[in-house]
Amino acid sequence: MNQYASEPSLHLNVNLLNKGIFAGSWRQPETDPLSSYQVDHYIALAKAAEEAALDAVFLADTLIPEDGARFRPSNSLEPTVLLARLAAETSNIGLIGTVSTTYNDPNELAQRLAGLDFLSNGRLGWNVVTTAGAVPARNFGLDGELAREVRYRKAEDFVEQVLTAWKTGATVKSAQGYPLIVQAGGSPEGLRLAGRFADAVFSVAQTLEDSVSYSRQLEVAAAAAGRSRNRIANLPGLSTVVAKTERDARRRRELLDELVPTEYAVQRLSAQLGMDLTTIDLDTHPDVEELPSPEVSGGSRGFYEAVLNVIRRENPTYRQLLKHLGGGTGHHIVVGPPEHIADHIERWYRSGAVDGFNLMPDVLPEGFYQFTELVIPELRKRNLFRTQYTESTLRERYAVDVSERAAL
Amino acid sequence: MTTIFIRVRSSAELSPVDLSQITPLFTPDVAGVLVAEENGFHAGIDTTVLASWLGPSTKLPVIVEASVSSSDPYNLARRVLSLQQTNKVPVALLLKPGVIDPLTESFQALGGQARVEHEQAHLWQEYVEVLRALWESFPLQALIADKASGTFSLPDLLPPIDFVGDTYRVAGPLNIPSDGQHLPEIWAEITEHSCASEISAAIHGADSLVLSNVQHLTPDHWDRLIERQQLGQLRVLRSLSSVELSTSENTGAAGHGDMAADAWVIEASALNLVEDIQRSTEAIQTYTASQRPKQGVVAHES
Repeated sequence: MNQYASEPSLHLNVNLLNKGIFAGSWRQPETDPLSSYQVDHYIALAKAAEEAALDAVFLADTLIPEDGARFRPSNSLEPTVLLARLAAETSNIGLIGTVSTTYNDPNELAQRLAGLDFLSNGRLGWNVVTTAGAVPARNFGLDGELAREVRYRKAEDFVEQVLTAWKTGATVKSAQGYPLIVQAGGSPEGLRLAGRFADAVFSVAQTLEDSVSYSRQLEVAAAAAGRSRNRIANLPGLSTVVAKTERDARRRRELLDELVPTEYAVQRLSAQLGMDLTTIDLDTHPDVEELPSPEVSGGSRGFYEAVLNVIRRENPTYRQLLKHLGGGTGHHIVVGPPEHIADHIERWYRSGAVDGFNLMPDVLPEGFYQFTELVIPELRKRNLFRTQYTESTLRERYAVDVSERAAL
Repeated sequence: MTTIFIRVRSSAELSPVDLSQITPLFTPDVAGVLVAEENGFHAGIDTTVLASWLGPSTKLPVIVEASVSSSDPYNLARRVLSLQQTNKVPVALLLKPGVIDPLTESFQALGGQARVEHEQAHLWQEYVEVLRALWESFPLQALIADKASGTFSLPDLLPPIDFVGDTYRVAGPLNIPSDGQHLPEIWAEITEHSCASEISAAIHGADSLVLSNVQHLTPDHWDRLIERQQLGQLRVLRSLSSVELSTSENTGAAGHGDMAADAWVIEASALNLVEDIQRSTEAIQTYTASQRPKQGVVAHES
């Protein structure tokens, strides 16, 4: 039996990815296109997430104005400063922030995260990432990016140093001891990092089979580090388009597709695949054999694999592929009324391959409010999701051994 | 009314509950809170994080202390400007001189860049230049968010800053917009450890200068300090410790030790905030009263 009293529950985090996961989210008629540059946007979302008893809010990060800045909002406010504010405005919701191991100093970051964890009474999670790209590199005195192997080697040393600082009392100690470790990379190096250190992973999976396969890889990576997969929560990203009826949901999705500037979608997919698609006829079919190998693609490995799987499975035209990806999100998109969304969540969760989801609402904040109002009650009706918090720290919330789910 | 800033330390001994209880106690006399680094680098809470957490309860302008040694300029610039956006109050950075930060140093080694030892005053000046350039690198006007055309921002208004100094090379721009009107101020502090070149750099480069110890100020320093102050380019703040020193000892700069202060910085322990503020305010009043007949200099009042 588990030492913690938490009731077994699906884990749900919400990714507060500025205006929402779709490139055209900010162009939705009802939304304020600039809200994600304001702290109030995040405070309102964090309070709504707490009201709905979600596990945590999640902040992605980018160190520069993004490539697509012409077409959509970029991440802006620095996550540790923003989470400190959210910590003061809430009391139960977990607070997970992305901070780069490539462009920080481990001693400084150990102290900064420990302080934030302390102020939040043990609700902090650190999403460990490496930072690719030449543009961010040039903000730190480098001329170009560090190679993937170098970045991940650095990341492993970095996390080890941070954990040592936390465990030896070189920093302040919070109610949960030290922050939860989260990881979000699908490359072999990312899996290795997750296997060694992660308490939770944010994965990419277009299908349940992708998730089952990822879960097995995670098991191997954990075993290699002498750990059990049962202690690592697998949380794939899930983009949601929710409405009361099937028809309204489809209409909402179609509008979002129309709002994605094609130039942006092509630019983003080009970057992910490592090939220039700007001159390609969008009505032709991508040929898997002609795509650059993932090693040279330069983009995120997890996204690359996900895109490749879609091409293999559906043989779409480039235009269909772009539409399928919602402007290049890469995560699975589920569209429909609350019952349909809940069916999807339940099926994946009961499979045992996933422990929950990192939700990526179509438009923020409105799409998340739709989710909490319509889908959360449906999940509770099915006894899948908690009705209230039974523990105060994020570590306790994630401590339920996933093998106990059979008891549900 | 005398303008005072309260300096609180981000002590690890306090609990979040203790800290939240101190904030409603700030009196109306307080113009801002200076969040100081706890001595011993790993002992305390990061000042930008603490100031953000205190934001909703203090609602006061905030000055965060950080050292050139603790963080690279890009990350610190981002956190300070983020803090200004989240707290919606004026934010300043009290930047302490120090040796090069570990991240910048490690990349210098990696890039095969010649390791040149620059004096700390020079590092400080360069660091300040980077911060200021980054803070104004993303004008708010670049965000047009035109739903009809699908153009969100105008990248042409976001050119890189391409800063290349002796130590720092920072391309920019920052990813946080700013209206350009309310950029964070740079504060500097003169302490008993400040050397002559650091004092010069601070007088020349800061928007506000805290005098905590004046024994190393030369007559030339005083002249330049007063000149910038009179031109409205530099605000001078004093701490009680500097006054006690200058009145009890001959500072070697007769008449300067009790120059006019634009504002005061007082130390307050988080647990004795009210008593500390009261005691210090009385001491400042006693001091300023004692100066009037002697010098005819009246402390700037606001």
